[in-house]
Amino acid sequence: MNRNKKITFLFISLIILLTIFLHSCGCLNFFENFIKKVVFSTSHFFYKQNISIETKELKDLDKDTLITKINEMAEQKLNLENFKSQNQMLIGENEELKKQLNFLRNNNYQTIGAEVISRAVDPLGTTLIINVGEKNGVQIDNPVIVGEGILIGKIIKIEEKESTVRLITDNNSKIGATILNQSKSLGLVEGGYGLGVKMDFIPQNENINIGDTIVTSGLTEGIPRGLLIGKVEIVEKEPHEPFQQAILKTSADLSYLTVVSVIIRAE
Amino acid sequence: MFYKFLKFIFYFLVALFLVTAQLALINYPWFSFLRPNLFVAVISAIMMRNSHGQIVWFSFCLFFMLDLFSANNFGFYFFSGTVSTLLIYWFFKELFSKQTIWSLILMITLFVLSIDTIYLFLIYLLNNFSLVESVNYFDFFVKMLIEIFSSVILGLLIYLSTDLILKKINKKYIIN
Repeated sequence: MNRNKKITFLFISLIILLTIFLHSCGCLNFFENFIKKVVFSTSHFFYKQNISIETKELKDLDKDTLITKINEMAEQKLNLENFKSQNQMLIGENEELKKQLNFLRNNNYQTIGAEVISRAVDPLGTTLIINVGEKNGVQIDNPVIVGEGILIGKIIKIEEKESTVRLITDNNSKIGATILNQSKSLGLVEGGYGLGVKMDFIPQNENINIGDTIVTSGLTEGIPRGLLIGKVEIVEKEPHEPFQQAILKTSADLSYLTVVSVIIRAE
Repeated sequence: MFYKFLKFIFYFLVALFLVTAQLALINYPWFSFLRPNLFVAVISAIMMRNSHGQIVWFSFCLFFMLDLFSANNFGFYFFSGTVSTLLIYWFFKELFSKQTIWSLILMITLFVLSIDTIYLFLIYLLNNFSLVESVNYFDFFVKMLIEIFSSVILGLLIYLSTDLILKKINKKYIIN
């Protein structure tokens, strides 16, 4: 590397470090918020669109009938379809919110509702961005739930108005859990490549049955006891291993998340 | 001066579009599984056509914006992406004698390798100070291979399609 190149390299590295410093000081907030606003509005649209395509029943329109129809009528039909799918999504969101409200009424949790904006850029993980942040009282390690207290993940990064949620299916997710069986077996729920969840470190001598419910044990920092995680689907027991494993079926469908709640204080 | 300002606005808008596209596409399961590096593909395709040093500043802008939406601490993508672009740019200027598809494939492969190596080095370094969580190296390696493969395909698609379009435009409007 000649002298000029070394100087260029050092100059660019210095500018990068200076930008990182300005970012952490909050000096670039105005510029960053503008970018976030533009990008999130589009990304949110695509996130919802993706969910709506996968969840709604796709009605194949008869092409021959469409051709014979007047253009205006066809347009009206399309508008109606669009309205229907939007309505269907709203009904779904409403039911989800009712469930969450019902759970929160019965427990002394202080929560805040949030909307999922997008997935986060993460090389290995399965993470989501939600539209509440430090300003709303969200803190690192706060649990995120849906429905009637179903844990879906926890907060790993907070910004002023957004937070990043690590889903329980994420490779780095590790949450202390209890199986609701006779011996109340303890273990660690870990994610696997964003595809599934398994519970590890369950003592070999304890009896686990398929269909047993798994809830949080309260041993993980920030996550209260009793939040539903899922049910046992497969039990993997090797005689020479000190622990047994259980493959779980999560109680929430993590592919279709639109509204969630963050438990900001559990009493 | 005005021309330079317009050029800056243009680059900024292109960068904004690419970040939006990356974030919009990541919502689709096939994209989040293959994780092609859209930025690497686009920057490499641009470098093949016009190897100007401004590409480094363009990538500076691009990776800065991307890092705003990353799950990691700010700076990981920004530093690894910009420094990698600079290294690949030098590599391209000094070593590549021919601008062929093979050089594009090699460039994208080295680009992804460089980004991921710097990224991993930063993770390793900061993990020693307990500032970030460590990653599973095997998973990261598998992800890197998938990313190289999908980014090469995406880069080729971008390069060949723009090549086709430019040839058609040249033939229709410039040569005739």
